[in-house]
Amino acid sequence: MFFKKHQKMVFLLLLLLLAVAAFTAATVGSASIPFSDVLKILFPFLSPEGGVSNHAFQVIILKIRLPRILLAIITGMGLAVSGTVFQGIFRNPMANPYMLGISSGSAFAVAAGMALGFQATFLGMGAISISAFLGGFLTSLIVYFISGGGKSVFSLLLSGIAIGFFLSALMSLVMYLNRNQIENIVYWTMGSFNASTWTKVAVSAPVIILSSILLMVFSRDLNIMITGDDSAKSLGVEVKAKRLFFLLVSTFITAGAVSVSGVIGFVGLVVPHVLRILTGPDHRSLIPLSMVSGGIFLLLSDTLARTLLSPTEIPVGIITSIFGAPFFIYLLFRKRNIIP
Amino acid sequence: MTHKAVELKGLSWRYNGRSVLSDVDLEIKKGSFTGIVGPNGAGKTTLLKLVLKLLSPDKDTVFIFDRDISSFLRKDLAKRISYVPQTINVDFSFSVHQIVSMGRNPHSGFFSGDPVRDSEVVQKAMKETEIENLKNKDIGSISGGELQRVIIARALAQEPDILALDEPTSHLDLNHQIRILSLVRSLSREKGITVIAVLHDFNHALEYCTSLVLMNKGKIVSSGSPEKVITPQRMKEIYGLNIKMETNPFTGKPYIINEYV
Repeated sequence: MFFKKHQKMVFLLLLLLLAVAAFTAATVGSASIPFSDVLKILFPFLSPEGGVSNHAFQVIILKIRLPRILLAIITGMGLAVSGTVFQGIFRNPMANPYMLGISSGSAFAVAAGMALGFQATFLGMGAISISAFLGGFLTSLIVYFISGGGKSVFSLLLSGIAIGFFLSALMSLVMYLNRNQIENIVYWTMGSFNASTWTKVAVSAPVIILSSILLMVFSRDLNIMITGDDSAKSLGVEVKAKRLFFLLVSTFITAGAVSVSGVIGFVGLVVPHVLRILTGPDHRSLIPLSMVSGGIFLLLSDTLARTLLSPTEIPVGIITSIFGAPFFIYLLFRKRNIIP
Repeated sequence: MTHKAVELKGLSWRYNGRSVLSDVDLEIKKGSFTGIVGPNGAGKTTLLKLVLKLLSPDKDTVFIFDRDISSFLRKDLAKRISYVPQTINVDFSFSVHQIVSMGRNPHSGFFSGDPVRDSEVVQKAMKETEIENLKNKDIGSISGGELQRVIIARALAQEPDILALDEPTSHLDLNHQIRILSLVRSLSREKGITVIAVLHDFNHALEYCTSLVLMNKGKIVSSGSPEKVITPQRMKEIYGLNIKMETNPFTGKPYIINEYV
């Protein structure tokens, strides 16, 4: 990690904000639980005379809300980090983690899995999560090889678009032929954390956090790659190998995020973009800052998703876009005014 | 101690089945300001890219200070030779200082590198290119002439022995063209850096270069001292234009006047 002074302050503030948001999110929901009770349940050693009287609160916090909160944070972190890296790789601030067809690959695999009634489990993860992960990851690999081994970012982009359309069409075909599954498939593609479990947290957390740290370690190369392939090579960067590395790791993160939550848009686009405007484009600071901000953004979105129309839940992907897009537009206008 | 900064031995290059360079032999002297000139499609840029290993040449065809370029790690090569492209496109708001600092990349690894020295070298490179006042400016907000200086500063921060420039003045007005080339010439003289520059303007080539390489159709037509390489007869053969050689009253160097068709 590499922070300038003011960035260190921003990072600490964001961490604090994340903690506050997490505690607040634990208090709200169909049952409103007082803040003091949340603290007692999470930190029983703070009240030695014997915790919370209400056993139901304990179950709600520990079995339902906490895994959901953590999963939203981890997923948000992952999508924001991979969004940052994809924008760097594609040298384009409008890139997002789904550029290599991960979303359509996962969605097709999930649709096929639902239609065929997959039941398998692995490491405690359900068939749908596994299909989503493999579908997304394999699709990205196929896109990479079709593009001639990442010969240029342009060929990657075009291959991603082509494969994306192809798999979306296949998914539509699966839905058309299996109309009884349409609702399930559509809901999955909108993204949701309502099926959060501790197992999902335990599997996705190490995948996403360790991969993000790995990306941070090499983030200086990503800075240099932004100046173009030839320019980066002449500065001593093995461009093709490094591009493969960045794509593989961030695809791994994205597929991991999608597998536990469905396709959640906008986080990976808007978070790095906003952070870049606010704190600068250096990936050594941008990746950790985006990571924490992504966690905050998706946690807040999910909390709104489960409370706005309570007891009905809104798919979280709808919330991220409804609240993210206007904010994004506001920033674009603001930026236009800053730069003459 | 070798006197050859770059040596090419039987260098060929094909692109999509078409021969771009065929069997090129060349020696570029250490400390020289060597210009590569020739019509479009002559293979000038390809030659430069092979010398920079942006394209990977065959074994034993390109030598940098007598060492086969294919045996260099990219990072080690970047300490010997740096590249000044026509321009760079950066869609993110990196500052001038951040871009110039990237030039230190070849000198810093995970467990090596000297941040204090890095920042000194970067400062010096910005001073030599007269861009200190732009230090904190957004790379997207400066003019073409300023950007070219930034790219040269970045190349200097690599502390190279060879500076390879690909049409460094093609985006600039006359004033900036001259300023950039004069800057490169003084850097070459003061630091003993070997300069290899693809140039389009013959008068610039005659004025600034100590040695010229004239290329046509993937081959070297002539190389050596500028006034010997550029002759009315060769210009007629290659460009189909009649020229006259005169002497520039300001500098005493040769320059050409061409007919207009």
